Amino acid sequence: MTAWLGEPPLPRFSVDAMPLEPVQVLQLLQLCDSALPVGSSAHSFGLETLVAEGLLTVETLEEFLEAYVAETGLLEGVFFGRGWRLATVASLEALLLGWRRLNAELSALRLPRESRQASVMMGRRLLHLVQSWLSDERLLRVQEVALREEGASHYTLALGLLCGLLAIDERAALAAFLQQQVAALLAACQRLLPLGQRRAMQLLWRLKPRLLAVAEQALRCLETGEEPWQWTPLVELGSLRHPSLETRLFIS
Amino acid sequence: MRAPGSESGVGAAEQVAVTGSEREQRLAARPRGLSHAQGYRPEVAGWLRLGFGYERTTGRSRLLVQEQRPPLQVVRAFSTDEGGALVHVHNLSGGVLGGDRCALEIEVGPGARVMLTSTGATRLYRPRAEDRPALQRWQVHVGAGALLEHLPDALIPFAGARYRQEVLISLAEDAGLFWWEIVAPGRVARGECFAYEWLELLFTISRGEFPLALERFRLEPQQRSPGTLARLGPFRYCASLYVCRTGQPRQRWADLEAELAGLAQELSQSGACLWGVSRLVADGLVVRGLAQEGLPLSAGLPQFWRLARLRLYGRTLPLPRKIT
Repeated sequence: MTAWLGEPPLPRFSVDAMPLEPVQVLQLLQLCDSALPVGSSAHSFGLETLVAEGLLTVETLEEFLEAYVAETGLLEGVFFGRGWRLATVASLEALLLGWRRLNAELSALRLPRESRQASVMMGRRLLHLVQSWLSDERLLRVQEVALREEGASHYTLALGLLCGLLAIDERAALAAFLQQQVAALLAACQRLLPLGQRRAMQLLWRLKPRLLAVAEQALRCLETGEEPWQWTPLVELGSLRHPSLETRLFIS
Repeated sequence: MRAPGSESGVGAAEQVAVTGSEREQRLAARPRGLSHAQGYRPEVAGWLRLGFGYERTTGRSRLLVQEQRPPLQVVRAFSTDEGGALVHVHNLSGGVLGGDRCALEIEVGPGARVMLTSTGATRLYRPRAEDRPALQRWQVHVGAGALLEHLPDALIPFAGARYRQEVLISLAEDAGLFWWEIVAPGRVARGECFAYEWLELLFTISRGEFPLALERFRLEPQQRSPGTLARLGPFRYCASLYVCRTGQPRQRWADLEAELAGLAQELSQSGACLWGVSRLVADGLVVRGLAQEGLPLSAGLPQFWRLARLRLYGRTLPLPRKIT
Protein backbone atom coordinates (compact mmCIF):
# COMPACT_ATOMS: atom_id res chain seq x y z
CA MET A 1 0.00 0.00 0.00
CA THR A 2 1.18 3.52 -0.72
CA ALA A 3 2.30 5.44 2.33
CA TRP A 4 0.55 8.57 3.43
CA LEU A 5 2.78 11.61 3.73
CA GLY A 6 4.81 11.62 6.91
CA GLU A 7 4.40 7.89 7.50
CA PRO A 8 7.00 5.20 6.99
CA PRO A 9 6.71 3.43 3.64
CA LEU A 10 4.44 0.42 3.66
CA PRO A 11 5.30 -2.83 1.92
CA ARG A 12 4.25 -3.13 -1.73
CA PHE A 13 0.81 -4.62 -2.17
CA SER A 14 -0.16 -7.77 -3.94
CA VAL A 15 -2.37 -7.36 -6.98
CA ASP A 16 -4.57 -10.26 -5.92
CA ALA A 17 -8.01 -9.32 -4.76
CA MET A 18 -8.02 -8.63 -1.06
CA PRO A 19 -10.68 -7.53 1.40
CA LEU A 20 -10.77 -3.84 2.11
CA GLU A 21 -9.01 -2.64 5.20
CA PRO A 22 -10.88 -0.04 7.22
CA VAL A 23 -8.60 2.73 6.03
CA GLN A 24 -9.22 1.70 2.43
CA VAL A 25 -12.97 1.88 2.98
CA LEU A 26 -12.53 5.45 4.17
CA GLN A 27 -10.21 6.29 1.31
CA LEU A 28 -12.68 4.92 -1.23
CA LEU A 29 -15.56 6.78 0.36
CA GLN A 30 -13.62 10.03 0.15
CA LEU A 31 -12.40 9.52 -3.42
CA CYS A 32 -15.85 8.58 -4.66
CA ASP A 33 -17.72 11.21 -2.68
CA SER A 34 -19.74 13.58 -4.83
CA ALA A 35 -18.24 16.40 -2.74
CA LEU A 36 -14.72 15.65 -4.01
CA PRO A 37 -13.65 19.03 -5.44
CA VAL A 38 -12.74 18.01 -8.98
CA GLY A 39 -15.42 20.05 -10.73
CA SER A 40 -17.89 17.28 -11.54
CA SER A 41 -20.80 19.44 -10.42
CA ALA A 42 -20.11 21.81 -13.32
CA HIS A 43 -20.74 19.15 -15.98
CA SER A 44 -23.84 17.41 -17.27
CA PHE A 45 -22.08 15.55 -20.13
CA GLY A 46 -24.82 16.44 -22.60
CA LEU A 47 -27.82 15.89 -20.31
CA GLU A 48 -28.55 19.60 -20.16
CA THR A 49 -29.23 19.61 -23.90
CA LEU A 50 -31.47 16.55 -23.70
CA VAL A 51 -33.51 18.26 -20.99
CA ALA A 52 -33.59 21.59 -22.84
CA GLU A 53 -34.85 19.83 -25.97
CA GLY A 54 -37.62 18.14 -24.02
CA LEU A 55 -36.23 14.64 -24.47
CA LEU A 56 -35.15 13.74 -20.95
CA THR A 57 -37.78 13.94 -18.22
CA VAL A 58 -38.17 12.65 -14.68
CA GLU A 59 -40.39 9.89 -16.04
CA THR A 60 -37.77 8.64 -18.51
CA LEU A 61 -34.77 9.13 -16.24
CA GLU A 62 -34.54 5.64 -14.76
CA GLU A 63 -34.70 3.89 -18.12
CA PHE A 64 -32.18 6.37 -19.46
CA LEU A 65 -29.73 5.75 -16.62
CA GLU A 66 -30.00 1.98 -16.95
CA ALA A 67 -29.08 2.09 -20.63
CA TYR A 68 -26.44 4.76 -20.01
CA VAL A 69 -24.73 2.59 -17.42
CA ALA A 70 -24.87 -0.42 -19.76
CA GLU A 71 -23.14 1.53 -22.53
CA THR A 72 -21.03 4.39 -21.17
CA GLY A 73 -20.64 2.79 -17.74
CA LEU A 74 -19.10 -0.30 -19.31
CA LEU A 75 -16.64 1.69 -21.38
CA GLU A 76 -15.66 3.89 -18.46
CA GLY A 77 -15.47 0.88 -16.18
CA VAL A 78 -13.02 -0.88 -18.48
CA PHE A 79 -10.81 2.19 -18.65
CA PHE A 80 -11.03 2.61 -14.89
CA GLY A 81 -9.77 -0.96 -14.56
CA ARG A 82 -6.99 -0.31 -17.04
CA GLY A 83 -5.95 2.69 -14.97
CA TRP A 84 -6.07 0.56 -11.82
CA ARG A 85 -3.91 -2.10 -13.45
CA LEU A 86 -1.28 0.45 -14.42
CA ALA A 87 -0.44 0.55 -10.72
CA THR A 88 0.72 -3.04 -11.02
CA VAL A 89 3.22 -2.26 -13.79
CA ALA A 90 6.69 -2.64 -12.36
CA SER A 91 8.60 -0.35 -14.70
CA LEU A 92 7.96 3.37 -14.41
CA GLU A 93 8.71 3.80 -18.09
CA ALA A 94 6.11 1.20 -19.07
CA LEU A 95 3.60 2.79 -16.73
CA LEU A 96 4.01 6.21 -18.35
CA LEU A 97 3.84 4.70 -21.81
CA GLY A 98 0.62 2.93 -20.88
CA TRP A 99 -0.75 6.09 -19.29
CA ARG A 100 -0.19 8.10 -22.46
CA ARG A 101 -1.59 5.37 -24.70
CA LEU A 102 -4.75 4.89 -22.66
CA ASN A 103 -5.37 8.62 -22.46
CA ALA A 104 -4.94 8.99 -26.22
CA GLU A 105 -7.36 6.12 -26.81
CA LEU A 106 -9.96 7.55 -24.47
CA SER A 107 -9.64 10.98 -26.08
CA ALA A 108 -10.29 9.44 -29.50
CA LEU A 109 -13.30 7.53 -28.16
CA ARG A 110 -14.82 10.61 -26.56
CA LEU A 111 -15.84 12.42 -29.71
CA PRO A 112 -17.69 15.42 -28.18
CA ARG A 113 -15.16 18.10 -27.32
CA GLU A 114 -16.93 19.35 -24.20
CA SER A 115 -17.21 15.92 -22.60
CA ARG A 116 -13.63 15.10 -23.52
CA GLN A 117 -12.30 18.32 -22.06
CA ALA A 118 -14.42 17.90 -18.93
CA SER A 119 -12.94 14.48 -18.32
CA VAL A 120 -9.39 15.74 -18.83
CA MET A 121 -9.94 18.74 -16.56
CA MET A 122 -11.48 16.68 -13.77
CA GLY A 123 -8.61 14.20 -13.95
CA ARG A 124 -6.06 16.96 -13.75
CA ARG A 125 -7.82 18.42 -10.71
CA LEU A 126 -7.93 15.04 -9.05
CA LEU A 127 -4.22 14.47 -9.61
CA HIS A 128 -3.47 17.93 -8.30
CA LEU A 129 -5.75 17.43 -5.29
CA VAL A 130 -4.06 14.25 -4.11
CA GLN A 131 -0.58 15.63 -4.62
CA SER A 132 -0.30 16.45 -0.94
CA TRP A 133 -2.04 13.25 0.18
CA LEU A 134 0.22 10.54 -1.19
CA SER A 135 3.91 10.05 -1.50
CA ASP A 136 4.50 7.87 -4.50
CA GLU A 137 7.07 8.28 -7.24
CA ARG A 138 4.76 6.79 -9.87
CA LEU A 139 1.94 9.16 -9.04
CA LEU A 140 4.35 12.09 -9.09
CA ARG A 141 5.54 11.23 -12.58
CA VAL A 142 2.00 10.77 -13.84
CA GLN A 143 1.11 14.15 -12.37
CA GLU A 144 4.00 15.71 -14.27
CA VAL A 145 2.86 14.15 -17.54
CA ALA A 146 -0.74 15.22 -16.90
CA LEU A 147 0.33 18.81 -16.32
CA ARG A 148 2.72 18.96 -19.25
CA GLU A 149 0.87 17.05 -21.96
CA GLU A 150 -2.54 18.04 -23.18
CA GLY A 151 -5.23 15.42 -22.81
CA ALA A 152 -3.13 13.10 -20.65
CA SER A 153 -5.30 13.18 -17.54
CA HIS A 154 -8.70 11.58 -18.08
CA TYR A 155 -10.56 11.37 -14.80
CA THR A 156 -11.51 7.72 -15.20
CA LEU A 157 -7.90 6.68 -15.64
CA ALA A 158 -6.65 8.99 -12.88
CA LEU A 159 -9.11 7.64 -10.32
CA GLY A 160 -8.43 4.06 -11.40
CA LEU A 161 -4.69 4.55 -11.04
CA LEU A 162 -5.11 6.19 -7.68
CA CYS A 163 -7.23 3.31 -6.35
CA GLY A 164 -4.66 0.89 -7.73
CA LEU A 165 -1.82 2.70 -6.01
CA LEU A 166 -3.79 2.61 -2.77
CA ALA A 167 -4.28 -1.14 -3.29
CA ILE A 168 -8.02 -0.76 -2.98
CA ASP A 169 -9.69 -3.91 -4.24
CA GLU A 170 -10.41 -3.46 -7.95
CA ARG A 171 -13.94 -4.83 -7.87
CA ALA A 172 -14.99 -2.61 -4.98
CA ALA A 173 -13.27 0.43 -6.46
CA LEU A 174 -14.88 -0.13 -9.84
CA ALA A 175 -18.37 -0.41 -8.36
CA ALA A 176 -17.82 2.72 -6.26
CA PHE A 177 -16.57 4.60 -9.32
CA LEU A 178 -19.65 3.65 -11.37
CA GLN A 179 -21.91 4.75 -8.53
CA GLN A 180 -20.04 8.05 -8.35
CA GLN A 181 -20.66 8.59 -12.06
CA VAL A 182 -24.38 7.95 -11.75
CA ALA A 183 -24.62 10.05 -8.60
CA ALA A 184 -23.03 12.95 -10.47
CA LEU A 185 -25.56 12.62 -13.30
CA LEU A 186 -28.40 12.50 -10.79
CA ALA A 187 -27.06 15.62 -9.10
CA ALA A 188 -27.03 17.36 -12.47
CA CYS A 189 -30.59 16.16 -13.12
CA GLN A 190 -31.72 17.58 -9.80
CA ARG A 191 -30.71 21.00 -11.07
CA LEU A 192 -32.24 20.48 -14.50
CA LEU A 193 -35.46 18.62 -13.72
CA PRO A 194 -38.14 18.66 -11.03
CA LEU A 195 -36.33 15.79 -9.35
CA GLY A 196 -36.28 15.79 -5.56
CA GLN A 197 -33.57 14.45 -3.30
CA ARG A 198 -35.74 11.59 -2.15
CA ARG A 199 -36.52 10.39 -5.68
CA ALA A 200 -32.89 10.79 -6.76
CA MET A 201 -31.67 8.67 -3.87
CA GLN A 202 -34.33 6.07 -4.59
CA LEU A 203 -33.12 5.83 -8.18
CA LEU A 204 -29.51 5.50 -7.11
CA TRP A 205 -30.48 2.75 -4.69
CA ARG A 206 -32.43 0.85 -7.32
CA LEU A 207 -29.58 1.05 -9.82
CA LYS A 208 -27.10 -0.75 -7.59
CA PRO A 209 -27.67 -4.25 -9.03
CA ARG A 210 -27.22 -2.80 -12.51
CA LEU A 211 -24.01 -1.05 -11.45
CA LEU A 212 -22.63 -4.27 -10.01
CA ALA A 213 -23.56 -6.21 -13.14
CA VAL A 214 -21.74 -3.67 -15.32
CA ALA A 215 -18.74 -3.77 -12.97
CA GLU A 216 -18.60 -7.55 -13.42
CA GLN A 217 -18.90 -7.19 -17.18
CA ALA A 218 -16.07 -4.66 -17.18
CA LEU A 219 -13.90 -7.03 -15.16
CA ARG A 220 -14.60 -9.78 -17.68
CA CYS A 221 -13.53 -7.47 -20.50
CA LEU A 222 -10.35 -6.68 -18.60
CA GLU A 223 -9.59 -10.34 -18.05
CA THR A 224 -10.28 -11.45 -21.60
CA GLY A 225 -8.93 -8.39 -23.40
CA GLU A 226 -12.26 -7.77 -25.08
CA GLU A 227 -12.97 -4.23 -26.15
CA PRO A 228 -16.17 -2.72 -24.75
CA TRP A 229 -18.86 -1.45 -27.07
CA GLN A 230 -20.51 1.89 -26.63
CA TRP A 231 -23.43 3.24 -28.60
CA THR A 232 -25.04 6.34 -27.11
CA PRO A 233 -25.61 8.56 -30.15
CA LEU A 234 -28.31 10.75 -28.59
CA VAL A 235 -26.27 11.51 -25.47
CA GLU A 236 -23.31 12.24 -27.69
CA LEU A 237 -25.45 14.53 -29.81
CA GLY A 238 -26.59 16.28 -26.63
CA SER A 239 -22.96 16.98 -25.87
CA LEU A 240 -22.22 18.09 -29.44
CA ARG A 241 -25.15 20.50 -29.36
CA HIS A 242 -24.51 21.82 -25.86
CA PRO A 243 -22.35 24.79 -26.94
CA SER A 244 -25.31 26.05 -29.00
CA LEU A 245 -27.75 26.22 -26.08
CA GLU A 246 -28.86 29.76 -25.36
CA THR A 247 -28.77 29.37 -21.57
CA ARG A 248 -26.41 26.96 -19.90
CA LEU A 249 -26.08 25.91 -16.28
CA PHE A 250 -23.24 23.51 -17.01
CA ILE A 251 -19.89 23.68 -18.80
CA SER A 252 -20.65 20.48 -20.68
CA MET B 1 -9.35 -6.55 -31.37
CA ARG B 2 -12.20 -8.62 -30.05
CA ALA B 3 -15.46 -7.41 -28.76
CA PRO B 4 -17.82 -8.82 -26.15
CA GLY B 5 -20.68 -10.99 -27.19
CA SER B 6 -19.52 -11.00 -30.74
CA GLU B 7 -20.07 -14.07 -32.83
CA SER B 8 -17.81 -12.53 -35.35
CA GLY B 9 -14.90 -11.91 -33.03
CA VAL B 10 -12.99 -14.99 -34.12
CA GLY B 11 -13.97 -14.77 -37.73
CA ALA B 12 -12.96 -11.18 -37.94
CA ALA B 13 -9.40 -12.07 -37.15
CA GLU B 14 -9.25 -14.42 -40.08
CA GLN B 15 -7.63 -13.52 -43.31
CA VAL B 16 -10.35 -12.15 -45.51
CA ALA B 17 -8.75 -12.58 -48.88
CA VAL B 18 -8.70 -16.22 -49.79
CA THR B 19 -6.52 -17.71 -52.48
CA GLY B 20 -8.00 -19.89 -55.16
CA SER B 21 -6.61 -23.11 -53.72
CA GLU B 22 -7.81 -22.23 -50.23
CA ARG B 23 -11.24 -21.66 -51.61
CA GLU B 24 -11.23 -25.00 -53.37
CA GLN B 25 -10.21 -26.66 -50.11
CA ARG B 26 -13.07 -24.96 -48.33
CA LEU B 27 -15.49 -26.06 -50.98
CA ALA B 28 -14.22 -29.61 -50.69
CA ALA B 29 -14.62 -29.46 -46.94
CA ARG B 30 -18.20 -28.28 -47.01
CA PRO B 31 -20.65 -30.29 -44.92
CA ARG B 32 -21.75 -33.57 -46.46
CA GLY B 33 -25.29 -33.72 -47.67
CA LEU B 34 -25.38 -30.07 -48.63
CA SER B 35 -25.56 -29.58 -52.32
CA HIS B 36 -26.24 -26.60 -54.50
CA ALA B 37 -29.68 -28.05 -55.12
CA GLN B 38 -30.35 -27.83 -51.40
CA GLY B 39 -29.33 -24.19 -51.38
CA TYR B 40 -25.74 -24.47 -50.26
CA ARG B 41 -23.91 -21.29 -51.06
CA PRO B 42 -20.14 -21.33 -50.90
CA GLU B 43 -18.59 -18.56 -48.89
CA VAL B 44 -17.75 -15.46 -50.81
CA ALA B 45 -14.47 -13.70 -50.23
CA GLY B 46 -14.61 -10.44 -52.15
CA TRP B 47 -11.51 -8.42 -52.62
CA LEU B 48 -10.86 -4.95 -53.93
CA ARG B 49 -7.50 -3.25 -54.00
CA LEU B 50 -7.32 0.24 -55.41
CA GLY B 51 -4.28 2.46 -55.66
CA PHE B 52 -4.35 6.06 -56.82
CA GLY B 53 -1.54 8.35 -57.85
CA TYR B 54 -1.14 11.96 -58.83
CA GLU B 55 0.25 12.57 -62.31
CA ARG B 56 2.26 15.75 -62.22
CA THR B 57 2.41 16.24 -65.99
CA THR B 58 -1.36 16.27 -66.45
CA GLY B 59 -2.31 17.47 -62.98
CA ARG B 60 -4.73 14.57 -62.71
CA SER B 61 -5.24 11.74 -60.26
CA ARG B 62 -5.31 8.29 -61.75
CA LEU B 63 -6.38 4.83 -60.74
CA LEU B 64 -3.08 2.94 -61.00
CA VAL B 65 -3.62 -0.33 -59.22
CA GLN B 66 -6.83 -2.27 -59.50
CA GLU B 67 -7.21 -5.79 -58.23
CA GLN B 68 -10.63 -7.18 -57.64
CA ARG B 69 -12.58 -10.29 -56.98
CA PRO B 70 -16.38 -10.51 -57.06
CA PRO B 71 -18.69 -9.46 -55.61
CA LEU B 72 -16.66 -6.24 -55.35
CA GLN B 73 -15.90 -4.50 -58.60
CA VAL B 74 -14.80 -1.19 -60.02
CA VAL B 75 -15.37 -0.55 -63.70
CA ARG B 76 -13.31 2.57 -64.25
CA ALA B 77 -12.37 5.90 -62.74
CA PHE B 78 -14.01 9.11 -63.88
CA SER B 79 -12.38 12.50 -63.67
CA THR B 80 -13.82 15.10 -61.32
CA ASP B 81 -13.96 18.82 -62.09
CA GLU B 82 -10.68 19.40 -60.27
CA GLY B 83 -8.81 16.49 -61.86
CA GLY B 84 -9.50 13.98 -59.11
CA ALA B 85 -10.53 10.37 -59.67
CA LEU B 86 -14.13 9.35 -59.01
CA VAL B 87 -14.73 5.65 -58.49
CA HIS B 88 -17.99 3.76 -57.97
CA VAL B 89 -17.61 0.64 -55.86
CA HIS B 90 -20.04 -2.01 -57.11
CA ASN B 91 -21.26 -5.04 -55.25
CA LEU B 92 -22.32 -7.45 -57.96
CA SER B 93 -24.48 -9.42 -55.53
CA GLY B 94 -26.61 -6.34 -55.10
CA GLY B 95 -25.80 -6.36 -51.41
CA VAL B 96 -23.99 -8.18 -48.66
CA LEU B 97 -25.10 -11.77 -48.14
CA GLY B 98 -24.72 -13.83 -45.01
CA GLY B 99 -21.21 -15.26 -44.75
CA ASP B 100 -19.68 -12.76 -47.19
CA ARG B 101 -16.18 -11.68 -46.29
CA CYS B 102 -15.12 -8.61 -48.22
CA ALA B 103 -11.92 -6.64 -47.94
CA LEU B 104 -11.19 -3.27 -49.47
CA GLU B 105 -7.73 -1.79 -49.53
CA ILE B 106 -7.51 1.80 -50.66
CA GLU B 107 -4.17 3.53 -51.09
CA VAL B 108 -4.31 7.18 -52.06
CA GLY B 109 -0.83 8.21 -53.13
CA PRO B 110 0.79 11.58 -52.33
CA GLY B 111 -1.07 14.51 -53.82
CA ALA B 112 -3.88 12.44 -55.33
CA ARG B 113 -7.53 13.38 -54.96
CA VAL B 114 -10.06 10.59 -54.88
CA MET B 115 -13.78 10.37 -54.48
CA LEU B 116 -15.35 6.99 -53.69
CA THR B 117 -19.02 6.27 -53.75
CA SER B 118 -21.45 3.38 -53.98
CA THR B 119 -23.90 2.71 -56.78
CA GLY B 120 -26.77 2.50 -54.33
CA ALA B 121 -27.59 1.66 -50.73
CA THR B 122 -25.54 -1.12 -49.15
CA ARG B 123 -28.17 -3.76 -48.49
CA LEU B 124 -27.35 -6.26 -45.77
CA TYR B 125 -29.45 -9.27 -46.65
CA ARG B 126 -31.06 -11.68 -44.25
CA PRO B 127 -28.59 -14.56 -43.77
CA ARG B 128 -29.40 -18.24 -43.58
CA ALA B 129 -29.28 -19.63 -40.07
CA GLU B 130 -26.05 -21.51 -40.80
CA ASP B 131 -24.28 -18.55 -42.40
CA ARG B 132 -21.44 -16.91 -40.61
CA PRO B 133 -21.89 -13.18 -39.95
CA ALA B 134 -21.00 -11.03 -42.93
CA LEU B 135 -17.84 -8.99 -42.67
CA GLN B 136 -16.59 -6.03 -44.61
CA ARG B 137 -13.18 -4.63 -43.81
CA TRP B 138 -11.75 -1.38 -45.12
CA GLN B 139 -8.09 -0.56 -44.86
CA VAL B 140 -7.37 2.92 -46.09
CA HIS B 141 -4.24 5.02 -46.31
CA VAL B 142 -4.28 8.62 -47.45
CA GLY B 143 -0.81 9.80 -48.42
CA ALA B 144 0.88 13.16 -47.92
CA GLY B 145 -1.06 16.04 -49.44
CA ALA B 146 -3.73 13.66 -50.73
CA LEU B 147 -7.48 13.78 -50.25
CA LEU B 148 -10.03 10.98 -49.99
CA GLU B 149 -13.77 11.60 -50.06
CA HIS B 150 -16.00 8.63 -49.29
CA LEU B 151 -19.61 9.55 -49.96
CA PRO B 152 -21.69 6.36 -50.13
CA ASP B 153 -25.41 5.71 -49.88
CA ALA B 154 -26.98 4.38 -46.69
CA LEU B 155 -26.40 1.07 -44.99
CA ILE B 156 -29.70 -0.83 -44.83
CA PRO B 157 -29.75 -3.93 -42.62
CA PHE B 158 -32.55 -6.33 -43.55
CA ALA B 159 -34.40 -8.39 -40.96
CA GLY B 160 -32.11 -10.93 -39.31
CA ALA B 161 -28.90 -9.39 -40.69
CA ARG B 162 -25.66 -10.01 -38.81
CA TYR B 163 -22.91 -7.76 -40.04
CA ARG B 164 -19.55 -6.46 -38.91
CA GLN B 165 -17.81 -3.56 -40.59
CA GLU B 166 -14.27 -2.55 -39.77
CA VAL B 167 -12.80 0.65 -41.13
CA LEU B 168 -9.18 1.55 -40.46
CA ILE B 169 -7.97 4.83 -41.92
CA SER B 170 -4.49 6.22 -41.58
CA LEU B 171 -3.60 9.74 -42.59
CA ALA B 172 -0.17 11.00 -43.59
CA GLU B 173 1.05 14.58 -43.35
CA ASP B 174 -1.41 17.12 -44.79
CA ALA B 175 -3.74 14.29 -45.77
CA GLY B 176 -7.44 15.07 -46.05
CA LEU B 177 -10.53 13.00 -45.47
CA PHE B 178 -14.27 13.39 -45.84
CA TRP B 179 -16.01 10.18 -44.82
CA TRP B 180 -19.70 9.86 -44.25
CA GLU B 181 -22.07 7.08 -43.34
CA ILE B 182 -25.80 6.73 -42.85
CA VAL B 183 -27.24 3.77 -40.98
CA ALA B 184 -30.92 3.06 -41.62
CA PRO B 185 -33.08 1.03 -39.21
CA GLY B 186 -34.01 -1.42 -41.97
CA ARG B 187 -36.47 -1.64 -44.83
CA VAL B 188 -38.86 0.79 -43.26
CA ALA B 189 -41.26 0.87 -46.22
CA ARG B 190 -41.72 -2.89 -45.75
CA GLY B 191 -42.38 -2.48 -42.07
CA GLU B 192 -38.94 -3.70 -41.03
CA CYS B 193 -37.56 -1.43 -38.39
CA PHE B 194 -34.69 -2.60 -36.19
CA ALA B 195 -35.47 -6.18 -37.21
CA TYR B 196 -31.82 -7.02 -37.84
CA GLU B 197 -29.98 -9.24 -35.40
CA TRP B 198 -26.89 -7.14 -34.87
CA LEU B 199 -24.51 -4.69 -36.46
CA GLU B 200 -20.97 -4.09 -35.34
CA LEU B 201 -19.37 -0.95 -36.66
CA LEU B 202 -15.74 -0.32 -35.83
CA PHE B 203 -14.17 2.83 -37.10
CA THR B 204 -10.69 4.23 -36.56
CA ILE B 205 -8.91 7.26 -37.96
CA SER B 206 -5.29 7.73 -36.98
CA ARG B 207 -2.34 9.90 -37.84
CA GLY B 208 0.68 7.67 -37.51
CA GLU B 209 0.30 5.94 -34.17
CA PHE B 210 -1.94 8.64 -32.78
CA PRO B 211 -5.68 7.88 -32.80
CA LEU B 212 -7.87 10.78 -33.89
CA ALA B 213 -11.28 9.10 -33.72
CA LEU B 214 -12.50 5.71 -32.52
CA GLU B 215 -15.96 4.21 -32.66
CA ARG B 216 -16.94 0.77 -31.46
CA PHE B 217 -20.66 0.34 -31.91
CA ARG B 218 -22.71 -2.77 -31.46
CA LEU B 219 -26.37 -2.35 -32.29
CA GLU B 220 -28.43 -5.25 -31.08
CA PRO B 221 -32.06 -4.15 -31.20
CA GLN B 222 -33.60 -7.29 -29.69
CA GLN B 223 -31.26 -7.23 -26.70
CA ARG B 224 -30.77 -3.52 -26.18
CA SER B 225 -33.59 -1.26 -27.24
CA PRO B 226 -32.45 1.45 -29.67
CA GLY B 227 -35.43 3.55 -28.56
CA THR B 228 -34.10 4.39 -25.12
CA LEU B 229 -32.93 7.97 -24.67
CA ALA B 230 -29.38 6.84 -24.00
CA ARG B 231 -29.27 5.44 -27.53
CA LEU B 232 -31.47 6.81 -30.32
CA GLY B 233 -34.48 8.04 -28.37
CA PRO B 234 -37.25 8.97 -30.78
CA PHE B 235 -34.96 8.80 -33.83
CA ARG B 236 -34.34 5.92 -36.20
CA TYR B 237 -31.62 7.00 -38.62
CA CYS B 238 -28.07 7.88 -37.70
CA ALA B 239 -25.45 9.68 -39.78
CA SER B 240 -21.90 10.85 -39.31
CA LEU B 241 -19.40 12.80 -41.33
CA TYR B 242 -15.72 12.94 -40.49
CA VAL B 243 -13.75 15.89 -41.78
CA CYS B 244 -9.98 15.74 -41.39
CA ARG B 245 -6.90 17.45 -42.71
CA THR B 246 -3.75 16.79 -40.77
CA GLY B 247 -1.45 19.62 -39.82
CA GLN B 248 -4.04 22.40 -39.88
CA PRO B 249 -3.80 24.96 -37.07
CA ARG B 250 -6.11 24.46 -34.13
CA GLN B 251 -7.83 27.80 -34.65
CA ARG B 252 -8.92 26.71 -38.09
CA TRP B 253 -10.81 23.79 -36.58
CA ALA B 254 -12.34 26.04 -33.94
CA ASP B 255 -13.59 28.40 -36.66
CA LEU B 256 -14.90 25.56 -38.80
CA GLU B 257 -16.59 23.97 -35.80
CA ALA B 258 -18.40 27.23 -35.09
CA GLU B 259 -19.46 27.62 -38.70
CA LEU B 260 -20.69 24.04 -39.07
CA ALA B 261 -22.46 24.28 -35.70
CA GLY B 262 -24.40 27.22 -37.15
CA LEU B 263 -25.41 25.05 -40.08
CA ALA B 264 -26.32 22.26 -37.66
CA GLN B 265 -28.69 24.59 -35.84
CA GLU B 266 -30.18 25.71 -39.12
CA LEU B 267 -30.83 22.18 -40.34
CA SER B 268 -32.12 20.77 -37.05
CA GLN B 269 -35.88 20.43 -36.64
CA SER B 270 -37.15 19.61 -33.19
CA GLY B 271 -38.43 16.06 -32.99
CA ALA B 272 -37.56 15.26 -36.59
CA CYS B 273 -33.85 15.75 -37.09
CA LEU B 274 -30.95 16.91 -34.93
CA TRP B 275 -27.41 17.75 -35.96
CA GLY B 276 -24.30 18.43 -33.89
CA VAL B 277 -20.62 19.16 -34.53
CA SER B 278 -17.44 18.79 -32.54
CA ARG B 279 -13.72 19.09 -33.00
CA LEU B 280 -11.82 15.83 -32.66
CA VAL B 281 -8.87 15.56 -30.35
CA ALA B 282 -6.77 16.88 -33.27
CA ASP B 283 -6.78 17.41 -37.03
CA GLY B 284 -10.48 17.24 -37.68
CA LEU B 285 -14.06 17.28 -36.61
CA VAL B 286 -17.13 15.11 -36.61
CA VAL B 287 -20.68 15.94 -37.65
CA ARG B 288 -23.43 13.72 -36.29
CA GLY B 289 -27.08 13.63 -37.23
CA LEU B 290 -30.09 11.70 -35.97
CA ALA B 291 -33.47 11.71 -37.66
CA GLN B 292 -36.84 10.07 -37.82
CA GLU B 293 -36.56 9.67 -41.59
CA GLY B 294 -33.56 9.18 -43.85
CA LEU B 295 -34.14 12.11 -46.16
CA PRO B 296 -33.09 14.95 -43.83
CA LEU B 297 -29.78 13.14 -43.24
CA SER B 298 -29.03 12.36 -46.88
CA ALA B 299 -29.92 15.95 -47.75
CA GLY B 300 -28.01 17.47 -44.85
CA LEU B 301 -24.70 15.63 -45.13
CA PRO B 302 -23.79 17.17 -48.51
CA GLN B 303 -24.34 20.62 -47.06
CA PHE B 304 -21.81 20.02 -44.29
CA TRP B 305 -19.45 18.41 -46.78
CA ARG B 306 -19.63 21.34 -49.21
CA LEU B 307 -19.05 23.95 -46.53
CA ALA B 308 -16.16 22.06 -44.94
CA ARG B 309 -14.60 21.39 -48.34
CA LEU B 310 -14.86 25.02 -49.30
CA ARG B 311 -13.11 26.10 -46.11
CA LEU B 312 -10.39 23.45 -46.19
CA TYR B 313 -9.74 23.12 -49.93
CA GLY B 314 -11.10 26.37 -51.35
CA ARG B 315 -13.75 24.86 -53.61
CA THR B 316 -16.73 22.58 -53.72
CA LEU B 317 -17.56 19.79 -56.14
CA PRO B 318 -20.87 18.36 -57.33
CA LEU B 319 -21.95 15.17 -55.63
CA PRO B 320 -20.88 12.03 -57.50
CA ARG B 321 -23.30 10.98 -60.21
CA LYS B 322 -24.72 7.50 -59.95
CA ILE B 323 -24.42 4.95 -62.71
CA THR B 324 -27.67 3.21 -61.87
